[in-house]
Amino acid sequence: MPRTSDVFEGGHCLSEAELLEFALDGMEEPLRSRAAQHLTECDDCREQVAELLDLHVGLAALAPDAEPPPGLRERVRLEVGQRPAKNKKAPPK
Amino acid sequence: MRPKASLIADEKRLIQRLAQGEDAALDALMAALERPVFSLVLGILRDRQAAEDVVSETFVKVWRGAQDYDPGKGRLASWVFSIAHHRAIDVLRARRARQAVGLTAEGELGAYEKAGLRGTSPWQREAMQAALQQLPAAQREAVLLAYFEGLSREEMASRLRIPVGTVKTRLREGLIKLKQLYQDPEAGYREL
Repeated sequence: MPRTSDVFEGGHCLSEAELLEFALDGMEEPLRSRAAQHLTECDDCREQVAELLDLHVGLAALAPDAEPPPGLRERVRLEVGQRPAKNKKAPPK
Repeated sequence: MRPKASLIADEKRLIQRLAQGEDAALDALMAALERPVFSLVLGILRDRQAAEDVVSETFVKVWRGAQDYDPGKGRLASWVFSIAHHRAIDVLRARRARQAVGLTAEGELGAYEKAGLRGTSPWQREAMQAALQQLPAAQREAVLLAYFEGLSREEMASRLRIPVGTVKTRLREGLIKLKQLYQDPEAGYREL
């Protein structure tokens, strides 16, 4: 039986509903910050949230299809080109 | 559980190439996900310029974070969508706070229930549609309002003219059931 407390007390593991709310951006502050802090310390909760992120793929597929602007890819290319070269690793040989 | 279809071919290799800073890897990632990510963000923001900004931020963040990519963050596509959704909802809430208006008119959620016309992930869409259809209507409504409009519990209660506690219950029960149904399409039938 999942626990469904309304007040997330930092430190304990998140309930199933809390994990879902966190993963799908439905958790509000200050609970979200407390949950995020907990996730940095708890491998089990972090792994569960990671699995729940798959729901984004299904939900996103419900959005009406839209054509991206033609310059979007080039814009991203230019923005990442501003990254300092030292952060970039050479490709494998 | 049936195997999950992937939006990205050879995901592990693509992550490695992104982490190595290979320019062509960014092209490959965007070729696979640019359109569905833009569709999601535009669906939330209803503003092409704002959507372009968010999608651009998303891919830049993925590119820069690829070296530290943790498989614990989930599959690559899930990670990308989660970044885009999180940012889009942030922008939407900030806009709403500035304007003190902007809630989508009632009745528009039907667009999501009918789904996109030319989506690029038919398995995921069909599975999610099937899962949503098995939710009670009130739970389905709460899940969609939270996910696509980023409504707070209070905003949803005001919109639906129901107590906040009822909103919380509907959303939590709806999310749990949706997860069960989406990951295991037969779960709903076993309960019958």
